[in-house]
Amino acid sequence: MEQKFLKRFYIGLFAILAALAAIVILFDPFYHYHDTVFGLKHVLEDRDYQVAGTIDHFTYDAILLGTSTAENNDLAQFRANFGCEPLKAIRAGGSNADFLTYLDRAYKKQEIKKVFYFIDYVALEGDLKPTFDRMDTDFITNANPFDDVKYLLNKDILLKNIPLQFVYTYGLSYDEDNPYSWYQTKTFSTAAVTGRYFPREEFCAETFDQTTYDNFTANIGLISERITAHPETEFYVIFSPISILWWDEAYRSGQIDQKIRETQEFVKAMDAFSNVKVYYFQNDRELAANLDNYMDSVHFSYEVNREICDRIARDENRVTAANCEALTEDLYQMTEQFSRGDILQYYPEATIE
Amino acid sequence: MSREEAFLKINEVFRDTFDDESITVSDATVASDIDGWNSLAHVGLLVNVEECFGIRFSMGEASTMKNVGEMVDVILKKLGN
Amino acid sequence: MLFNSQIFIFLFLPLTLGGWYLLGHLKLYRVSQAFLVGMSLWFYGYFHPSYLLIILGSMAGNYLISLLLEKWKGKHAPKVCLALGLAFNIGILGYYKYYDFFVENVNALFKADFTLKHIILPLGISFFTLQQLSYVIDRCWGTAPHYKLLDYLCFVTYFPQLIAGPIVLHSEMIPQFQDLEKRKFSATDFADGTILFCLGLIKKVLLADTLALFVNEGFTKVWWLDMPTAWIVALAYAFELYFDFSGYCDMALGIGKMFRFDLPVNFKSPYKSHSVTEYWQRWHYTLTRFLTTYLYMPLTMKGMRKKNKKVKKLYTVITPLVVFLVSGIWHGASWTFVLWGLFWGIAAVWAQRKFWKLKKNFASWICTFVFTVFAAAVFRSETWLVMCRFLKAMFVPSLSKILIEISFAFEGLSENYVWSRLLEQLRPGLLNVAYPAFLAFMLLISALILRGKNAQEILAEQKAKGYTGKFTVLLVLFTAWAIISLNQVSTFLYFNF
Repeated sequence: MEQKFLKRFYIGLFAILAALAAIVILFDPFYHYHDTVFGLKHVLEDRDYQVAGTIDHFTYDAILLGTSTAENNDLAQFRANFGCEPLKAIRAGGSNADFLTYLDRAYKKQEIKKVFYFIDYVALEGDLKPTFDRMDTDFITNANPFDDVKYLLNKDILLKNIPLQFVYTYGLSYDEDNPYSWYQTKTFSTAAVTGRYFPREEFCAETFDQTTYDNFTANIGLISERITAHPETEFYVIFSPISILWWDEAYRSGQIDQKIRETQEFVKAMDAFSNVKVYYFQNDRELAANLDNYMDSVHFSYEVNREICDRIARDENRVTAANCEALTEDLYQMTEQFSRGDILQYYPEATIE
Repeated sequence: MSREEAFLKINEVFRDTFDDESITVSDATVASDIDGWNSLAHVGLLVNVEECFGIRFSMGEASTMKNVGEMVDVILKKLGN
Repeated sequence: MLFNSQIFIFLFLPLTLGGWYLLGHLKLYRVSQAFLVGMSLWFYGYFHPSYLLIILGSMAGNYLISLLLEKWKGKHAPKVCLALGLAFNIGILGYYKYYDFFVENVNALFKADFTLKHIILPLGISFFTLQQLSYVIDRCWGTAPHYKLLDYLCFVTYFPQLIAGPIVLHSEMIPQFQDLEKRKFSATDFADGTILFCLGLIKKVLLADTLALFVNEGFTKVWWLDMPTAWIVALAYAFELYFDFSGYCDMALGIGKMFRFDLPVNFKSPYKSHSVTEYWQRWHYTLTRFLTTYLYMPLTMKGMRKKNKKVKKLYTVITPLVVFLVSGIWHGASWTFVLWGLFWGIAAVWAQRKFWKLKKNFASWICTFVFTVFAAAVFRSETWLVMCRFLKAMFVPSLSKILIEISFAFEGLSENYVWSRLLEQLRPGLLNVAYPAFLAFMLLISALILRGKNAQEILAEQKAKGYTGKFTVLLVLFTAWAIISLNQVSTFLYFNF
């Protein structure tokens, strides 16, 4: 009697679990085993779980690396402007080591024609370690087949991610060229930004943080290694605009000189390579000082992403060692003029002396 | 003292403690057999037994008696039988 | 490692069971016991390898005290060893569990500035300390023998009961470890174990963890609670706590059974109790047993032997208070737990008075249950401030729409994903009805389950009926459901949009 129960129970349980795992393997919403099947759309909404799989199994010849501000890039535009098949390997709040881990993973699979690297000071000033342990995503990114059980027997995958593939293929509209994007749900306006940023009351003396500076130069070294190892790849490095309010904080807290010095170091290092082009948008008044482009002091709108992409395609806003000093000096002027006067139109009470 | 005498005496203690004249205990009587035999009553019972027989239980003895039979055994042992 | 994890279910448990019965089959009895100890230490060290030092140190200390009693037959040996044992165990627990709490209070009281150590509480320390304390006390009372080292290690580390009880006694476990008959596989016991484990897993994962979504949200929104919501949150927490803890104990008992070892039943439908005393016989019974044997009984004996009637009476009032205050502080190092203990203590003093001779009727049940729900709210409050706020919400009448907002906590449940997204597209207004309805559904299901048979009773019934097909199918389905619920996809929110 007990034996019959045990047999029935365990065979039944394992049959069900095996069937569920088979469903996950078949539809594979994180693309851990294969590209999509049955013509289902590429539904990409769980960045940290999906990027690794898309690198391994999607068809592409260009890759976008960066943090949240690069998430709203429109792949269709990159395809049209550069004649490539792009893939987003974005890691919001990620470190430079994260991006390079993704890049190495892509190179392991195939050669890459173009790499678009969107600069994030936080990512470059941070330490040289990947941040993959901040979430339990390891099971999906590593090669260990045993911990895949966390993916294969996972309620969220079965009840959320797989149904979503169907919903977006046969029901609601879904733009496969804007994976991981978040601009749709945000408000970009001067009011939104000024409601989130409050200028300091005092101007601090310039400071210099040796640790972050050392991290920055070490990270440049890591990037240079990849560039050297892949001379056939074209690298586009982009200093995206950051709002004038962010620069105001850098100016008031006495950190702007370090940022400028880091920028110069970076550009100088890249000058050594013939397969790298660096683009600089930070001193662009239209993009940085127009607060209607922003939702907070860092995150800009989809239109800014589009503008940057077009300008790179036209090879505008290039920066080299030759003009770097002039451009960063212009950034400094722009910031100083804002912090010492123009800021009053947004913050009538702000200190400017 | 014989086992029978001890049982007679202990039965009286039970009747007094639980205020119930119908109680008759045997070797196998346990707490759940008697209404109101909770931990407070149990200690009250032990102390009443101590007084009645002029003995003193150790904590070890108090915590290990599982039924009335064992209690009587302990009592008899203490009395030197 | 937790029972409700896939590494435990798919790797640790099969491996340990396999090794245990294989070694038993080969008649390598000591080796198999050592194997069990080794696996249990892996189970424990999986959380944090350094904790192994603490548990090994604790076992070494207690075993040495027992050994000392074995060698030293002097007249004062029991008393000295008892003092030693108490100091050692309470010392360890005091350091790891109460150091920061103590220092905080000293700082507050004397405006001092001693630094906190921010000691992270080693898992299960409260449980294995009590378990060993009971052994050492029994040794000193002369009711326990000195055991072989391997048996003792098995008794303390045996992983099913290691981190969350039940608090087992040496007298009920060690004879089982020594019984070589139990080393043979038994399909009956394995079936029992399987059923208990699965029932526990289902309770923990599908019921407790789901209710927790709502309860946690309720406690983060404590400042906005209205009166009905506060009571509903407290009720949901009472349910959660029961399903969580009793589910975990069912799993422990089930695993124990798979190894053919019987652990004491810790939960016996506590919410069916008609009095406070009955509640504590049904809720976390092994803790009640420990406190009764080693604290309540000695104190009461002392009180009852007093000749002075007033002193006697005083003891009957003070003792339950002391016992429940100790219970409170044992549950956690904070004043809310102390207060929780005090409330239970007052209720217990009340309950043991003669005039509290309520019949077993609806009134006595509802009074007991409402008190339990109230106490659960105190128990759940992380800080004094939260507790005051929560109790205010419970007892000062107010009404708002906060319940709807809090019930949106169920949005995170993947079972609710597809229908709620659809509703959002088609009739977004209906979500305000749908989530409260889901809450009502969860509470109703919980109430029905609590009214019905508990895990032990279900097991007994199925054994008698010869495991019906319907039961087997349901058990398979819900177990599979629970297993896939152990993993989730989380979202990393690094900036506050």
